[in-house]
Amino acid sequence: MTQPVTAETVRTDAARHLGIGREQLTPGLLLGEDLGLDSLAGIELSMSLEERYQITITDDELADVSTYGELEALVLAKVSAR
Amino acid sequence: MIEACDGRRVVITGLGVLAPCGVGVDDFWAGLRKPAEPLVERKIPDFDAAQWGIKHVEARRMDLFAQFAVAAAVQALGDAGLDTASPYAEERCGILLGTGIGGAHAWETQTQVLLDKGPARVSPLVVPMVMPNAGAAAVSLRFGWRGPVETVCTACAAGTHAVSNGAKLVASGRCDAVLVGGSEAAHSGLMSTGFDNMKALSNSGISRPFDIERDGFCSAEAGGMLVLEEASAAEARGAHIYAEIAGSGSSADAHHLTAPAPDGRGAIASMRAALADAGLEPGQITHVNAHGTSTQLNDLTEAKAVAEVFGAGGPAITSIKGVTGHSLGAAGAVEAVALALTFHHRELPPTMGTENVDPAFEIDLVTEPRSWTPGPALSNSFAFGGHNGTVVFLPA
Repeated sequence: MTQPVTAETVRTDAARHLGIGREQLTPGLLLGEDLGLDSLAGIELSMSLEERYQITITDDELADVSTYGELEALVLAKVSAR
Repeated sequence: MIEACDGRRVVITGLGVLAPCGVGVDDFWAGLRKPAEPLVERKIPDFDAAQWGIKHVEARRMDLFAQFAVAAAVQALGDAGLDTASPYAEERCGILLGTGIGGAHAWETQTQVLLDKGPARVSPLVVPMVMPNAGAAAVSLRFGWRGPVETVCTACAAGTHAVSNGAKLVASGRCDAVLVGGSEAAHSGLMSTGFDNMKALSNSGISRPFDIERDGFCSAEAGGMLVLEEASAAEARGAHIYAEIAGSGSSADAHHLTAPAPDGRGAIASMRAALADAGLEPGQITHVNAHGTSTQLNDLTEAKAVAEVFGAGGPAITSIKGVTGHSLGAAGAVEAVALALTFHHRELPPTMGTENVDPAFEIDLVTEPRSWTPGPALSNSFAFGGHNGTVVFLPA
């Protein structure tokens, strides 16, 4: 990956995966209640970002994520640890 | 119909179709009279899930065959006028969908992901995308219908069996309304290769049912759905009624995994069972919408069976597969839609692609559009596995 990965790029990719506008995706949104993602949809989103950034998010790590902001932070931490 | 309780009759009040020759009943009907380009794999042109209200995220979770089912159901419910206002409780509304293969695209693409990228990249939704009942489930989720929602997997007879089994739910009083039909999107590399290697596909890309030169079928994508309701309730709400479904037959050859019994016994039994179920004599049938795949064996066996059941001077026979190709588990549903439109337009669609009817066949094959006074008619489907299905329509 040649482009630097930032919160903005993660947000763009996550929004594209979810089929919503980037501006709609704010850090405080709950994945379940606010974004309407069931557990499988959460796994799908996580897997999509894993593939995009060549990272691995474990089931336990994903289980601790409840908001979009937490997911974004997790992805960025994984990217910087690559 | 043997299942009919309290004099209940089953009528067709809505139609939806996606086929290579046209999407929507008007384009589809017009397409049945236009010569098809030679093509061994016939796709639905310009399919756009969003046009049918399937959101981007939903589409990623649905194999193409399930999207076709939803798209056809959206059309059929709209045509029946049940999309905006329905007098029926959701738990009294059922869905019967036929498919031959199910989620072939999802199966194959996710297998490739597993091989290329490893298990961590395989979609967690691969099972609910591949499963053959995904189409019926998607329609149920879309419309909130909560009665019997089931899937028939009898290969190329599945569409006809789904129509038949759904009609029984209405006749018996278990349902007030049903969506019945079939969908198929089996142009994956694996399925196409399998059909080709078993020499079932046409080399010429010309589908010409019952022609002396016929050389195999042309495989097709399709979705077809019909709304069935109890006749008096449909009349009470002022629904447009295309035709009545008066009976059905189902049988098996128990002869060979893929080849029809050479004496046509299964096809004959299916047609005779359907006639008995409808309380009709063979001489009353005026039209047969044939399975007519353009393979050597199917057309030979079906022509023999029709001649055996109806005798000389039998009904006018059409196969629309000259245009549509063969959409496997959707075929019986697409042909049920075509037969309902045949009643509506009072015209028999021609068997396109056929130039020289095999002289061995003693059948009245319709090769030009023919005006027709609606009368009792039937539609046949026959399948790998030896499954046979027939459904009988009457003028409403």
